[in-house]
Amino acid sequence: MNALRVAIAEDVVLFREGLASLLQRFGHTVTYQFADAATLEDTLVTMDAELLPDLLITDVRMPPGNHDDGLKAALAIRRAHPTLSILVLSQYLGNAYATQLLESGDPETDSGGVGYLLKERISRVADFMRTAEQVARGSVVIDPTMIRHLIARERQTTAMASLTPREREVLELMAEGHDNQTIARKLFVTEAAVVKHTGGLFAKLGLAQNEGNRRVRAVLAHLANQ
Amino acid sequence: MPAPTSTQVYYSDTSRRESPACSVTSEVSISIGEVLRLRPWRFIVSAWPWRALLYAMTSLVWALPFSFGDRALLLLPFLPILGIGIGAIERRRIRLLGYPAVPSGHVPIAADERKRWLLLRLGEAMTWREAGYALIATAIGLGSVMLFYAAFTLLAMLFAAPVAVAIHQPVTLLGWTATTPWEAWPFPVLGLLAALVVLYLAALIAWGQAAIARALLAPRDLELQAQIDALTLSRRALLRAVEGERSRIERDLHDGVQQHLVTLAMQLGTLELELDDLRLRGANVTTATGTLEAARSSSDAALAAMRRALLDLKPPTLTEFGLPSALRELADAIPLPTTYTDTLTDRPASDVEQTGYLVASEACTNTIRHSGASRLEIATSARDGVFELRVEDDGRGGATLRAGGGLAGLRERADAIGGVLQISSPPGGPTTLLLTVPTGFDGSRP
Repeated sequence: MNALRVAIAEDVVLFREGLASLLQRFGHTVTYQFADAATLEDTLVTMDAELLPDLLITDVRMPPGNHDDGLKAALAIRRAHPTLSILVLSQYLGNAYATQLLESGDPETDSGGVGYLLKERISRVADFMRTAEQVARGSVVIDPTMIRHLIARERQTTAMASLTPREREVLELMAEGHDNQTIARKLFVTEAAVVKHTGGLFAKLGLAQNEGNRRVRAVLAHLANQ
Repeated sequence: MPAPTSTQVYYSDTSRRESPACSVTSEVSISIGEVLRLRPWRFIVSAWPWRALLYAMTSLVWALPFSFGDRALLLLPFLPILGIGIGAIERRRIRLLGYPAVPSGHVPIAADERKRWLLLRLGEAMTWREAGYALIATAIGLGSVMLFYAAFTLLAMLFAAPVAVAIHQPVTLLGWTATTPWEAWPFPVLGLLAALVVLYLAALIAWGQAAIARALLAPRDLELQAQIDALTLSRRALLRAVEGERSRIERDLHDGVQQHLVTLAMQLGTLELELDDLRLRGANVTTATGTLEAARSSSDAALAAMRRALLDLKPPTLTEFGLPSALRELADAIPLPTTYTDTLTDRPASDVEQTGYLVASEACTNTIRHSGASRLEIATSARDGVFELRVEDDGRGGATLRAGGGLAGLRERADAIGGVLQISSPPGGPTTLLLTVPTGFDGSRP
């Protein structure tokens, strides 16, 4: 993995400094640090494209309003720079946040990656770094806990109830942003079997067969918009 | 008017039938009005003549200003203030005659409005009726002073006549002359009769004054309404204070405890990296890694518990995205096919949103637990300045607002923000819950 240039927006100094030093430990460069959403938005929205970082990691709840200022800033930056990858860290599982974030990118064009993770995921540093790099590469990654919630809710609908347990597992992993190869490895099955399962579940959910990120977006949009 | 009826007149409107004021008055079953109609001998052996006399005598106090002569006029500008004080005393003093204490028609004044106390009071009709009553009470007091002075002088002379005759000389009273003590015997007898008349007179005066007091000092319907409005406002203010507290606690937990826990989680992650470094240099870190993993589980559990607590306290989606988003998430979250329709154009006030959310989530819980419904419909709308939340299921019905139940608590809450929570749940279903809140009622004005 190439070294990334990362911008961090986080109001708690201890957390911000800690995150910065972890990123540096993994060979990345922290190019910008912001302590409030207003500065973050003002700086990045007007920034020249070549100066932009590869990845923005931002907290949701930040000054000045201490509500969802960080997310609003992220959405504004996304509108100004659709190719910038954004990883949002949150304390909540609220799917209204994630839905907004997912809708911010145009699924048909090549927009930047999007991630929505619970803050404490950083306690598994290696996993966290992998996710950050995935998002920087343009993937869509949503917190596994949230995906499990979404799928649990979905079980009521007839379409979701008709999925086999294996298809549900594949769906969970797919929504987390994994490709067929990784899913096959995680489930100890062949890639051909994964392809068969994805075909089955896409047909049952009435989704079009897409590849890569568009597939993840389609699945997440389906889950979040029910 | 008989006392029990008057008790109900005062309290039935405000449905405070169990108020302490009532239990005090229930000890006295009759009042001066009926007492006057008793047979004289029953009247005279009861405590009533003495209570009436005590009342009439204490009324004399209001004649006090006349002892200042002309200067009493200087008090006139202060009449409204004096009236408020006199009114307050008279409303209670009336219990001496067997009436319940008269409730005040004054509107309660909030702590932050105390500075404007006089101005607010002068604007109330109650204050001016009290001033009028004060004038009447002074006049009655003055009349009573003269009357009782004459009466007591006469009584004293009648009872003292035999003694006077015995030690001095003939006494002539009321056209009868007595020269010997034996001839003076009619005087005390006449005195007893006169005493009876005086007691009746005292009772009559007391009854009359009490009737005026009850007519002038009791609140009119409008004033009762004003009081109800004021109470409604203060209750809503209280509810807001509670909401404010919840928000503050949520903020404290989020900005304090939760941030520390998240930072702790990150530091545990850093520790793992450092242990890895040590392992690469040949150190045995197996035990340390195990302990680290345990610590990480604990911190994960603490964060999950914290998140749940914060969600119960105040769903952040509700605060940040508003009621429709929060209800959509609620509809997503419950294990029952649920449709949510929203036609709101403006965001309702925060206490309306909060109450709406609580009503909907309680209704969902009830539906799932008791109704056996197969689907649920939630809808929010606003029409003609009235916010409306409707929750309907196709279950078996029969739901009630049991006292102490969750829905009853929510009805009180709806009440506090000036709204109404209705439930329709015939046996066999369906069950419909309807919350309506006038949105013009923003609590800043009555």
